[in-house]
Amino acid sequence: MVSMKTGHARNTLRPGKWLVPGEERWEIREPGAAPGAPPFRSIDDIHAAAPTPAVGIALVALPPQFVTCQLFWLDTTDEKAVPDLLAMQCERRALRRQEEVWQSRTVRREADRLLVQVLILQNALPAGLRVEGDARFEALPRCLELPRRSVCLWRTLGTMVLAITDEAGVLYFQSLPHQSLTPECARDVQAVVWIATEQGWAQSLESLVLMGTPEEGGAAALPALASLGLEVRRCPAPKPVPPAQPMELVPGSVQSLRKLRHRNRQIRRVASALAALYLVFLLSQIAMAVTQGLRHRRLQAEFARMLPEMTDLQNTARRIDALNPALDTRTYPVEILYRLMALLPDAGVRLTRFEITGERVELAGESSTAREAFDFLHAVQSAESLRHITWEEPPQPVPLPNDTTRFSIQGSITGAWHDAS
Amino acid sequence: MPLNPREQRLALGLGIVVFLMLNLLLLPRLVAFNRESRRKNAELQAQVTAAHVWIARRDYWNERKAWLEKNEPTLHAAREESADQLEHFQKSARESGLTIAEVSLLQLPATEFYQPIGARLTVKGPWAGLVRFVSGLQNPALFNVIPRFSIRSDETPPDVQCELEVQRWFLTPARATP
Repeated sequence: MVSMKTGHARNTLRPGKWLVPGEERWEIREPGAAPGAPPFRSIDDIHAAAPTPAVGIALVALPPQFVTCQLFWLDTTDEKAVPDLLAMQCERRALRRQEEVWQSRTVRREADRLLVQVLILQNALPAGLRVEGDARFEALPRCLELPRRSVCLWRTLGTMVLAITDEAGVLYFQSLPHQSLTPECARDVQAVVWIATEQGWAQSLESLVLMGTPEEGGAAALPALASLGLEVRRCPAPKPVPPAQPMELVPGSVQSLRKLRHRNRQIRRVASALAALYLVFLLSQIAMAVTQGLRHRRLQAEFARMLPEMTDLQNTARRIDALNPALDTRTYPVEILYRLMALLPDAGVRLTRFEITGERVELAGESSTAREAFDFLHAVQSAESLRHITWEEPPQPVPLPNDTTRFSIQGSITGAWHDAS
Repeated sequence: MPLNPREQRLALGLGIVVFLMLNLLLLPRLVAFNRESRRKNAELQAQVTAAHVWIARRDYWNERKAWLEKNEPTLHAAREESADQLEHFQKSARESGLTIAEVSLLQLPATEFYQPIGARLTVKGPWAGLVRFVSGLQNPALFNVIPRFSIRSDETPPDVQCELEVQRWFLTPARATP
């Protein structure tokens, strides 16, 4: 037995048609239709309904063959203890089955005990019946306008059904194993009423109501029914009405179907999101292709417009680079020589050779001491006026027999004329 | 004829498969095309930026171009230019107190930018005269180049001996033609 709170319970019923079991067959009815009004549509055989799911149905009224009603007196007034006590009671009566769902509500409160009504719903819907959408499920007797403080009898799907009502509504109902109101059926009704009276469920019952189409042979059962001491009367088939308190039971098969639909919706949502992402990616790629194409055309046009002038300027620069030795005064031999001589100390160092071959510059000289040679070479390498010449590391100055030191250094002229400008 | 639900599902599945196949085929090409376009556009953008930089310095280069066009000498007759050059060397050396020990004309090939006319000289004399002589040879407006220059003490100090190669770069005939 599984207690389910499915979240589908609502105090108000959404508009739509109802799937209601009639005397012989399932019927699709407008809620609140007058008794005896023709059904919106009849389904001759619920098996025939299988290929066509009942879409758009707001409420399915399940006959007592599929919803069992039990009443329990519980020796407590603590509502919190009700579920555990109910579970024990149900287990004791072998009602606990995993494939069922159940719901309880307190129908009467006395000083030291509670009368609790338990509705137990079979896991599967009636064979072949498929209900799609967000339909609510109710026990049929709760959806009918039954007379109060009465024992009601009528036929549903070819089976006799009994319901006992008090001043608040349906107290108890059950399916009887009879297809018509026979004396045996009447004896079963007697038994149920006696049990109800004995156990104190039914108090102040006033009448026994035979509802629906009168049957041939029903008269034979009347004496037994009359022996209950209740006023026996007949009335038309009851009008479907919304129950005062909604039932929160959903058959397991419908729960599975709804879970499946929920999962399918999630899968569809994820698939849609992925498809949307892919579409965005695809569109962004296409947009990028278009944008890049337009940008390429714009850049090409801009470059083509500037190219002749840029080429002319570049040719001028190349020409000046090529003419640099004639134009850059810093590369003139006499200028380099002049700048070198400016670095010579007043005494102690003299130049013996100065050569320029292309970009190569070679310098040699003599000094009185090695220190003076080192100082001069260092001055040449670090001179700001000769920074357009890249000097190589000079060889070690060589002491000569005549108490002098010979030194040399080589370098390359670098730097363009216009760079220095 | 309307399709039944199974046929609709099959048609939808087929449509999805065809769509995916087309995308598998076309999307990599589209992505590659975009990547290549971005690369080309980046290169093109760099070229455009470089062009902007060049053009921003338009005045600088045009000023130098105008100076070159005004001052670069034009070669009319190589033989006459060589003779004039030698005459100038001799006159200048004499005025500077130098002696030209050796002189030889050079046959130099033209380049894309200039046609050189040159000679190799060996001059001897005082240091001050040599400096005056060489300084007189080199001036940006003369378009003279001294690619080889070697100076060392002469056998009779304080005189010096200098070997040098002097070229004058003329505007090539192709460039000189308007």
